[in-house]
Amino acid sequence: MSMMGRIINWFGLSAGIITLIVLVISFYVPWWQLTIGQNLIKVNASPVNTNFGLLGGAQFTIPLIWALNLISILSFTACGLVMLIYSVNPTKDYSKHLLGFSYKKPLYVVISFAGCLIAIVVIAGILGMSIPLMGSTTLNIPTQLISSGLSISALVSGSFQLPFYFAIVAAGLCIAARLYHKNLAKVQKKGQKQHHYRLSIWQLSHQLKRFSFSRQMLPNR
Amino acid sequence: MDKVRIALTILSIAIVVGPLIGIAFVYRDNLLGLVVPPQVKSLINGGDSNGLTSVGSQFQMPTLVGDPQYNAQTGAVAVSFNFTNPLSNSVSIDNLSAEVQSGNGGASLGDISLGQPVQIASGETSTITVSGLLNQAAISQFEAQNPGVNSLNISLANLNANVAGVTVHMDQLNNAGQLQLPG
Repeated sequence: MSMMGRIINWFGLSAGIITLIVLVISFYVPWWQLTIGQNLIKVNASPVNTNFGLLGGAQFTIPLIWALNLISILSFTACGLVMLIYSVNPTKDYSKHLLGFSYKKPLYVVISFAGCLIAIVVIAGILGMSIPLMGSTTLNIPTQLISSGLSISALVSGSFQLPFYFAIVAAGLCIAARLYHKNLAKVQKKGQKQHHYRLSIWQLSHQLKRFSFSRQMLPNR
Repeated sequence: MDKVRIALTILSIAIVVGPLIGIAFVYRDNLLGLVVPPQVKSLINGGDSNGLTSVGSQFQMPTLVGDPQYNAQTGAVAVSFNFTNPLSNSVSIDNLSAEVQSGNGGASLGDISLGQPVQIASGETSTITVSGLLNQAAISQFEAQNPGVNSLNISLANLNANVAGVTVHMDQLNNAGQLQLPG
C-alpha cells in the first residue's frame, strides 16, 4: 500500500504504534491480576511491571523479576521503534532485517508471559493450591502448614486485564506485517521488472535512432 | 545491509544480557536477595524493618472477651470477641459462627452466629458480639444432672470465621467461658 506514491506497510505501522501504546499502558495496568481475600495479597503481573502487595502494605517487587521486566521494556521499545522505521521504508534493502528483528518480539513476550502464568498455576496445583487464571476459586492452605484442627481457606480471583489483549493484538499485527511484507516484496519485484522492461525498450529505441542517424550521416555513393 | 543485521543482533543480545548482568552485579554479595526481597525476608524472620512485618505479627485470631452472657428466661446467649485490624485498609468480618457445647466437647447446647457483617477500620480494635439461642431442655438436663452447680463451662465447636475474605475453621475451642445458671 502506498501513500502519495510512498510504499508503507500499514500493518507494521499499526503494530509499531500499538506496541508502544501497550508498553505505556502496562506501566499502570497489569496484564494479569490475582487477589487473595479482600486485598490481603495482591499480585499485579505484566512483563513490564510486576509487583506484589502483602497484607495491605506497600507494594514491592522481586529484583530478578524487575530485571526481566526491564528486558521486556527494552524489547518492546526497540520492537516498536524499529517496526515504525521499517513500516515507512519496507522496500529498502535493510528493511527485511528491521522486520526480522521486530516482528517476533511481542509474540515471544506474550507467549513467555502466558507460559510463566500457566507454569505457576500448574506448580501451585501440584502443591495442592488452586490458583485460577481467570475467575474465582477457594484456595485451601495445605494442612501440613497449619496446626491440626484448623483449616484456612481464602477466596482467590484472577483475571486478565485489557493490556494483555492489546498485546495479543500487537503480536497479531506484527505477524500480519511480516506476511504482508511478502506482498510488498512481490510488488517491488514486479515494479523492478517493469522498470527494467521500460528501460530496455527505451534503450532499444535510442539505439535505433542513433543507428538511423548514423545511416543518414553516411555519404551517398 | 550486513551492518544493520549485525547491529540488530548486538542490540538483541544487549537487551537480554544487559539487565541480567546489571542486577547480578548489584546483588553480587547477596544472590538470595535476587529472589527474596527485604519485605518477604523480614516477614519470614519476624523483624520490623517496615510496616509489613509488624502487620504480619499483629494479625491474630479474634480473642474471647469475658464470659458469655446468658439469659435463662429467653435462652439467649451472647459471646464477645475482640478483633484488631492491623492492615492499612479496613476489613470486614462477614461471618462468625459456632456450635456451643457443654464442657470440653460435651452435649450440644445450641448455635451462635454474627447478626450482620462488621467493618473494622485500619488499626482499630472492635468488639464483635455473636449471639444465639441455647436449647433450654439441654440446660435443664445439665442442671438436673448437676444439682447446685451455678455455672456451666462451655466450649465452641466448628468455629467458622470469615475475615477479610479468608475463612478460618476451627474444630474445637475449649474453655470458651462460663455460663451463669440461675440455679
